[in-house]
Amino acid sequence: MTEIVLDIQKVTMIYNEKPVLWDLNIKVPAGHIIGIIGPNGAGKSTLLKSILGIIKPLTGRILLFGKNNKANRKRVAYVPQRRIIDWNFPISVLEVVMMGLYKKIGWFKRPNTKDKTIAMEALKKLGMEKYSHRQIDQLSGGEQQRVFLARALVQEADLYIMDEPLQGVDAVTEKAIIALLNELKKQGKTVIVVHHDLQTVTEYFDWLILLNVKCIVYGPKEEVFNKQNLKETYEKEAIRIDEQNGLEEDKNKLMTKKISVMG
Amino acid sequence: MLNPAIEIQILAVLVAVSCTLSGVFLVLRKMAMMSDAISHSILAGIAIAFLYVGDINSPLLIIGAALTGVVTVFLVELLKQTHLVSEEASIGLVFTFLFSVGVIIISRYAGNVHLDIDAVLLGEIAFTPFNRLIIANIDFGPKAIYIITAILSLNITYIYLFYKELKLVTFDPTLATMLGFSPVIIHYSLMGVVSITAVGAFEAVGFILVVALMVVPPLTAYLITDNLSNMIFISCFIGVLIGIVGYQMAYVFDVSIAGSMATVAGIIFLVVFLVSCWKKSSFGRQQRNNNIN
Amino acid sequence: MLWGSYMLNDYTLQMVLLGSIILGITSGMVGTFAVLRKQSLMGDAISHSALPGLVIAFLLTSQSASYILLIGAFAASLLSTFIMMLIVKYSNITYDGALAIILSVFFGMGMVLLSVAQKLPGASQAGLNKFLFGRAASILYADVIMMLGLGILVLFIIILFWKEFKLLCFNNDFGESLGLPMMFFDIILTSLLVISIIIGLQMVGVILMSVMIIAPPVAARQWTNKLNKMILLAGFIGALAGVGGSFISSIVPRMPTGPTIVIMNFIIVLISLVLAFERGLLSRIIRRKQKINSILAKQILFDCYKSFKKEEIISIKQIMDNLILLSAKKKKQLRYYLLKKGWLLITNDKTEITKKGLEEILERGVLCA
Repeated sequence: MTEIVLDIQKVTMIYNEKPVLWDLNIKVPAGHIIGIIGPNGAGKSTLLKSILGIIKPLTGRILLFGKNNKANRKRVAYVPQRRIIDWNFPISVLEVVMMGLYKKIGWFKRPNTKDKTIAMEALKKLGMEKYSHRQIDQLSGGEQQRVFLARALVQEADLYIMDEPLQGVDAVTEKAIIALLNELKKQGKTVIVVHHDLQTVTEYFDWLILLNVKCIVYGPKEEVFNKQNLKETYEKEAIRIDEQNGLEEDKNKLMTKKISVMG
Repeated sequence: MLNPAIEIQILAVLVAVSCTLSGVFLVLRKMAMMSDAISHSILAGIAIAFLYVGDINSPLLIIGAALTGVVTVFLVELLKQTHLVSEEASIGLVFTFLFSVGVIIISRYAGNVHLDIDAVLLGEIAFTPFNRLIIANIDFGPKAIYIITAILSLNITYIYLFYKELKLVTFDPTLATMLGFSPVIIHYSLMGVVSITAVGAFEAVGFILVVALMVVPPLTAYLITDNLSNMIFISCFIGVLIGIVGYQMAYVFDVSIAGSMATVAGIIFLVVFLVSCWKKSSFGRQQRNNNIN
Repeated sequence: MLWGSYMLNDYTLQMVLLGSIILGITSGMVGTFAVLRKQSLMGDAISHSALPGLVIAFLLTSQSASYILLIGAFAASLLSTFIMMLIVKYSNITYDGALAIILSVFFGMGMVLLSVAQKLPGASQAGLNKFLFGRAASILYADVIMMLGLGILVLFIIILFWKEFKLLCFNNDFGESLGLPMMFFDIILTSLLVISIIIGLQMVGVILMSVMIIAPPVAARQWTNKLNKMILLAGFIGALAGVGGSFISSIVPRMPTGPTIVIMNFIIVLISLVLAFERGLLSRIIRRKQKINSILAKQILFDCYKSFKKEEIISIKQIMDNLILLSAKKKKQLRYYLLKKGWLLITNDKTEITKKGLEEILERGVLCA
């Protein structure tokens, strides 16, 4: 029985007095590469933030590895969107990667040679070891992304969460990233990725979550990735109960039920 | 004791380096104007502390003033959280409000103590009204130098201890939270250090120079290097340079010391700025030439 | 009443009141553009950068007449904004850093020049100090006339270029795509800002001038979304704060005028933030509570609907537990809300959806505003 690494139970989230996530019930088993897809404003980033525990849901709860958020946070590594980072900050590639080890190092102490080695190995996995002393303002988009991935790797997490990691990267980087994800999967890790490009979805992921404020559907891609579901995710206005035509029928059902109760 | 001129010179350098160290991370966090805000609000803190203690020589004034710095930051955050006021506007509103409160308190309640408003605001390293050490005589030396040295040590210790935490929290606060390092603690502790530095320096050099020293050397270093430790060392070096050249020029031309230091800071920045622009354009030209060839 | 009319006859008070009204209106209106363009602290930088200009004008002409010093101030401030733009454009330094650099360096240069001026024989300090710290009480009729003249000029230019300024604020790129010289309007608007600040320096001084530019627009913003209303309201609030502040400072002993006006401004801002109709904190808190209740209720309704479709029996307690709602008070609140709306029929062991509830879900969906 595979471990459920992420258990989202009846999560509803609001922002500015409107729901951005509605009644999400998702159970993610270990060892898969999962893509979250949906239109803009579907709440994908919000979902990531609530998984990470940065924001609290209005209702429901999220369990990581079967327990409440904070306890298991250190088993989760996060790769943010590139565009929110200040790439003019005066640090080197190696320094960025070593940030992933800060928790292990603890307050006040300095990183030692062993930490440096771990960081360099991670960089090597992403093909970036030659760049270790380069300052981050000299990197291309793909290189920046790979540095972030190396930083996630050193955290030795069991669950990796990535926000649009393939956005705006070159082909070489894209290949390297996907190779890395597959290797993680082989090691039994779980990777959850917010993805933007429908063309490559089935190629890169084995499970999918289709999100548009509510979870349209989730599961293995073969079951889930079809025209009907995509239409519902991208075209329908979020959260209308779809069975419009069922209204009359249901009303009747209600009537008859009432009668039977009264009678 | 040493020659007064040398004492002042040492003081100038110490003040410059202390402010610069405080300013480095302030500037990296894109909060340069907060130095302006804090150094103005401190007046309110001093005024209120004075009301409470009644003795303008009391060390409680420094504590009160430093606290005001943190309160300023807190109030700005509060205003920002309403999402009704932009960050800039919040800063502008809070510090002018606090400053006005300070001026009013001083005018109403401290009217009998002759506080030369000009000196308070413009500061003069050889004229620190709160400590009643009016002229650069022997008694001026020890107290202020010791205070500033303590503040300098505070800055050095703080940056040394929290170096990686400051880096992390400034660069990626989300990761910091996830790794268990509270950005809030770092933020407010930094502001505390900045406030204490501002108070100590302000007595010597007044508001505006505090801002100049906190902001200009780090930003100049920012133009020169893209490595953080280098940036810190270069800023300190520039701070020392400003302290020495600024004071000497003031001595020679007999002008305001604080003003002279700020001007020297500006000149250094200008030179570095122009050089970096020229380098960028000639580098660009070189690139284009290489591509053509 | 008698006392009041006596006050109003006082020459100084009259001048101060007039001056503060003019200042309030001008800076409130011009400040609206600055605040909307996220240039609030520009006012602070401009005020401080004016100093060297003032002193140079004095040194060159050996006069401390207001209008001469003003021209110097204007030139210095304009130069400083220009340099600021250069810094931001040609380096990695961000706007806040450039502001701080300009502010402190220019002011520092001013201090150097000031110490030179102070040594000159016969140098009258009154003119210069007036600008630095604001001595509203020594405002002369001539000063007020000049403020009025400049104020009218500013107003005139705002009206003249109203459409272009609006474009500059909200849709600069569009304006450029139309081939309009947006840079030119930017410079004009900044110059207006500089003029307004120079006007105010006499009354409230360098440090407090920023608030005159920031506070009225911020307060006005809370009450309206439309630019024309906002600008008029900002002018009004500026004048109101000016009058109020001047009045209070004249009545209460030893209250300096400048800071009192600032405090008035700040109070108006706070009141606006809390009480304004839509944006105000009070109304937002109330609305948010209502909204949360309605969304939670909808979710409960939705769950009922699901069990209705599956033809399962479910109790309200079960539903609320599933939702992991915490406080008992909240649960009670929601029960009451649902009953009131008539969407559910709640008994002790089971909960049924009513026809009304059904209609609510199916016809209006869950996301209705």
